[in-house]
Amino acid sequence: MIEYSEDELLTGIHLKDNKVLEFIYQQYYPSVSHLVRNNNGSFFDAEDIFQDSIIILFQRLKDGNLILHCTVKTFIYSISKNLWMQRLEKKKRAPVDFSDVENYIDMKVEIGKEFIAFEKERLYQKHYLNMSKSCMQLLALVVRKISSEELAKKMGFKSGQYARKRKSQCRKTLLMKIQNDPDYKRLLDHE
Amino acid sequence: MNKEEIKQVELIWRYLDGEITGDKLLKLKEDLATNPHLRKILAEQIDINAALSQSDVIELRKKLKIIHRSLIPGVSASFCIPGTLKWYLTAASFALLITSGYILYNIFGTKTGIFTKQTNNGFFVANDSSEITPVDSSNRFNNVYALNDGRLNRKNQSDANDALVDAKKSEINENSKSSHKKLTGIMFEENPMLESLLIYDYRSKENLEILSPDSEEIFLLNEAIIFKWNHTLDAVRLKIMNNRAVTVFESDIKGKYFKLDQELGVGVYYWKLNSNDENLFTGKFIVKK
Repeated sequence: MIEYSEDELLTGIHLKDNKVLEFIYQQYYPSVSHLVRNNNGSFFDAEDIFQDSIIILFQRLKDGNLILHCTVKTFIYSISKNLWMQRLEKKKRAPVDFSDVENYIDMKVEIGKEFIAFEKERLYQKHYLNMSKSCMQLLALVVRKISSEELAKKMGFKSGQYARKRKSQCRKTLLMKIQNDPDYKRLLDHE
Repeated sequence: MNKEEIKQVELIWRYLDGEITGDKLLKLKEDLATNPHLRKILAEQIDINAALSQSDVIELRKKLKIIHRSLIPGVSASFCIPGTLKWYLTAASFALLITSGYILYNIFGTKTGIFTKQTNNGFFVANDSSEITPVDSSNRFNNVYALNDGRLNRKNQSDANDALVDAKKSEINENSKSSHKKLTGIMFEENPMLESLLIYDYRSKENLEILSPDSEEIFLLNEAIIFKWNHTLDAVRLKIMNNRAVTVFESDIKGKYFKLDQELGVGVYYWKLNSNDENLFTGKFIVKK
């Protein structure tokens, strides 16, 4: 297996490079999965937490505000642990064994303030990614503020009126999915 | 959401799309200044739009999901079963069949045929010449294999034995998540015959338009599945089939919508609306964890 330097890992994440992402998954996922599953979490929770940690790292790189005082592995593990601790807190579930299997740095401050905002964004994107291909395509155009007539052209609809109708349907579907998610209700309670 | 809330949300959508002008815009701005609930809806819709605008984050999320499926055992195997693994699974199925027979034999005390006889240690086997062979329990799997000896290729004996051991292990580990994921993987395979019947964006002569589920809409397990169309239907038959074309739900329904009370497992489902033996619509939706 190819080994990557810390800089190569960060560049790879920034560029969403498949090989680097696969490497990170293979090398760093097991410890995060172990941590989550030993603390009242499922396989699905572990998957979410690990992927969200990479997203946080990606967003930091994109915004240019990442000052890394540790390895990428420690950063991902630490973010994962903090995210999971905060999600457990919101779910009113207690951790069981948070003894670390990896180096850990306390990063609560770094994600604490933005936690609710991040969780909401994750929720919106999760349900968006679970929509039909046509709705995903349509909503991606809608947020770019394309007119209904232009939307009809791009989507191959008969008219702008029909595009408006589909736009409304897709938005409603997305909103219902978001509002029916138990995590959404929990987030509202903590606002 | 009640009707009033839906109206408010639609108004906000139109506002965000720049479709409200003139007096209506002034009125909305006044309402926003005085109505905190409306402001909350606006803030939420702005947040949703912002989240959906992050195309690079969304792309990364998609990539990570694909990598997870391809790298984490139990998920990838469910989507693509290599030839050798299929062979192991077949052998393992035989082993499970025999184990089940053994359990039934012990429960009901019936012999399953000329091939079996219980030994002193409670286990029974037969070889390919139907000669009954008592065995030691420590050597069960090798001897169970003897039952299949006439049917299996001898060069695969060691592989098959391994598969039988694996089968036993998986039987013991009933709660194995990976086994569960394999099952759900099979349930996610598309049915080519039903796929060919799918009708997207269908509008019949009667202007029937399906509002929900959307084409290939994904529902989470335990999420309410609502079938909805644009006008009241007098009598139609709703039929839901799994990906093996087995009907899992069928009922005559009326009205503009129908909420499914029955819980469906994870997998791909196809649904049909029939009226007087005429197929009005065929759609597809997915249920996942």
